[in-house]
Amino acid sequence: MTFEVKIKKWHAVASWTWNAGDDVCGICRMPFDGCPPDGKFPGDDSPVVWGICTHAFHLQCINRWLQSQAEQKCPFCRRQWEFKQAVVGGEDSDT
Amino acid sequence: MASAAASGRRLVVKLRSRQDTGRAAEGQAQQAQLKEAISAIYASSPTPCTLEELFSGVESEVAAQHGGALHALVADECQRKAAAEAADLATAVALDSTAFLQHVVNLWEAYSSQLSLIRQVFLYLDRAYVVNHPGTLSVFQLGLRQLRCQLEALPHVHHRIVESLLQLVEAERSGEAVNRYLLKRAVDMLSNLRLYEDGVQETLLASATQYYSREGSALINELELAPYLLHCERRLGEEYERCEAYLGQAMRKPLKEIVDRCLLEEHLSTILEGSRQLLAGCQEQDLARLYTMCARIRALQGLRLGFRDYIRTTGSAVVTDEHKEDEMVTRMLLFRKNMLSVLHNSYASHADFAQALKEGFEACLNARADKPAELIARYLDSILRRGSKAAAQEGSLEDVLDAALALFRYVQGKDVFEAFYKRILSRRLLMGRSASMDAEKLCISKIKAECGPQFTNQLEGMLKDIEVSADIMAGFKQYVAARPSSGTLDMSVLVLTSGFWPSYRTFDCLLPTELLRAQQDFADYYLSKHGGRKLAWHSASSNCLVRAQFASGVKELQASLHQAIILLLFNEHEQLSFADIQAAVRLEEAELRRTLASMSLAKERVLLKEPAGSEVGRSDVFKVNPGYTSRMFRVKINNLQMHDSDEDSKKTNEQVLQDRFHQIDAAIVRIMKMRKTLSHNLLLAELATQLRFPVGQSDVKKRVESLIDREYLQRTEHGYEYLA
Repeated sequence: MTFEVKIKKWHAVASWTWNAGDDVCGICRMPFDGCPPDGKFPGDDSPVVWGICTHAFHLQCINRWLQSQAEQKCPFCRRQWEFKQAVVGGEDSDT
Repeated sequence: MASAAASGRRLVVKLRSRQDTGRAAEGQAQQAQLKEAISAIYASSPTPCTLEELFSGVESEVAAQHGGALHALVADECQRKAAAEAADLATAVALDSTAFLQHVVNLWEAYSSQLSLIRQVFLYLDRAYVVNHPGTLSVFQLGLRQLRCQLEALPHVHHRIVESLLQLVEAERSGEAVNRYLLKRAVDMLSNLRLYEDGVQETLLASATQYYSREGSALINELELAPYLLHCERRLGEEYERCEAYLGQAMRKPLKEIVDRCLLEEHLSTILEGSRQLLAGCQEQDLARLYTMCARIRALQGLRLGFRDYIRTTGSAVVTDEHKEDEMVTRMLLFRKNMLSVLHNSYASHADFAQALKEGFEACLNARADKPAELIARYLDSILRRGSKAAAQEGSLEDVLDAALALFRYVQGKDVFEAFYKRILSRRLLMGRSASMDAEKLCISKIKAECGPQFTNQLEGMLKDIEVSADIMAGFKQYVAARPSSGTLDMSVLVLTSGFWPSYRTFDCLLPTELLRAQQDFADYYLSKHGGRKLAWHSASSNCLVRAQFASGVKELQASLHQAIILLLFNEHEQLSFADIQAAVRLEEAELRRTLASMSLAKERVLLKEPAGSEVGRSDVFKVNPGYTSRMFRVKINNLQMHDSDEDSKKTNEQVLQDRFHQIDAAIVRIMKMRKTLSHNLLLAELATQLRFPVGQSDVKKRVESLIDREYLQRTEHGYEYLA
């Protein structure tokens, strides 16, 4: 049998979503992959951020929350809010 | 004549000196002489003495206060002559119209020239006596009055004159050549005698009315509309010309009205009915003629409605023709182009007609729910796939897009279009079938004007993903090149932002290790660049270029990922059963069947199935087709997804329907929150302004029921109340 196949080129399609555990942002209750109420575009223009407490929110949402508060605390767990540095993965690391 | 007048003037000085002598006698003799002179003038024979002498005779008589007697004398003489003329005419009534009229005109012209000579002789009477005695007629008027009275005293003569005139006019209308000069002189005579204005004109108009209503009723059935209109136009021209030539300016307006009324207004419904034929044939010149005629008789409203209804019925027939759905958009585009051209060239781009065109197209494109919107989206797809080639025969690509979107503008269910456009665009982009990114952007910017930025943001996001992916791939290539362990697989990845793209079904499948490793490499690279994300792979949208060594030679196969991974299995196995393949690739059964069928039952049969049959069964066994050949080096193995586009559109429609329910819910709640209480009808009216698609009564009722169940609303006596 002389049959032999080999893949030369692969044109793949993937889609990305925010790697946040819950589906929706705890502040605006919109999906992470949608946009917050005052955002216009989903995706890159409505980024999702994590605090060191591992809770995730839309950047716009958490900023607004922090601005309205005297103390910078996570609205979920009341721990001091600090932005987690951009790291690979999210709350659960790469699998 | 002129010389007589000149010599008369020279004599005035001499005569005045005679008058100064104050001789008042010989009045009788003088009057007798004048009477004789009038008779002589009327008989066209020489006067008994010179005109100068007669003139001075008149002058002296008037000066002697005999003006009244003189006036009566002239009246008498004129009457006698006029009676004689009338009697003469009475003997000629048996002649045919032309000859009789000729006779009349000859007599008249002799009479009037004789009368003007008499007037000159009796000039002093006019100047000194008539002017000072209001109510008396001047000599010339007296002569005319007498003739008129005599004619009226003989009604059959009078009648015969008018009749002759009518006969000749009618003969000319019927196309016979007549002596226009004769007619003009006859009209002159009648109007000098004040007979023309008093009755003759009316009679003429009445005969014209009769003539044209007869003609209108006959021709409207006999002729097609176009020649009929041409005929009407010619008739108007003829009447106009006839007025110029002899009937007089005053007749122009009433005659025009008669022609308009008898030929057009009375048959308006037939004419408007016939205009459909003209529209169907795009007979722009004839339509322009019809337009100006309707404008004249103030029937534009009817023409406008006819235009609208023609567009509506003709367009609806095209739209609802289910057998020719593929051609619907092109047919409608052509139809619209024709109608626009009619609007500009025939209907003077009149704003009301433009509105009628819009109403007509709106009615026909909405004659059928949803389908037109879908077909327009598909038509745009075909244009954007072919790019400028599609536009070659139609002008620029932009014009083609504009025309298609103009059709879209008429469609009420914009959301259907949006859903289909998005789905089709995504397929076009994922399959790399778009002819030009610039054209895509152009089209989207045009849709933005129609649908608003909210919708096009997503489309723009999709295009942006394609561009960003190219950048990512450039980075990834460098990253791979820096790693010595990389394989020979040339991999490119489109990374989609999931919020922008329509949701596709994803299929799980087991990839060969080589592909898995490449996939993992890319994921590592991508996630290191973009924190906080995760990737999902869409194997159904992936495709591969596969190099295959057949017995007949080497081929390159353009295949889907699913096809490719099945083919790879045959590197190690001569033949495989359906179950073997399923175990190896772990693809969902329906998709696996479809994929196997595409390679063993469709056009390019690279696999052989046993037993042969028209469907893939669970117990089938597959092996590579040893006899596979193709004329081409590079072969595309079509996916069998093409034929399920019906299912595809059904799915999209369902999705649109679902979205509509949500939008109706949201709109109702928004309105009720603002108004607190509202009747059902007012709620419907408000909804119509808020929603971008037509809502059915029953849909609204259902949604209201559902909102009442969910305690957003409650019923009141007059309508609904919002529950906070």
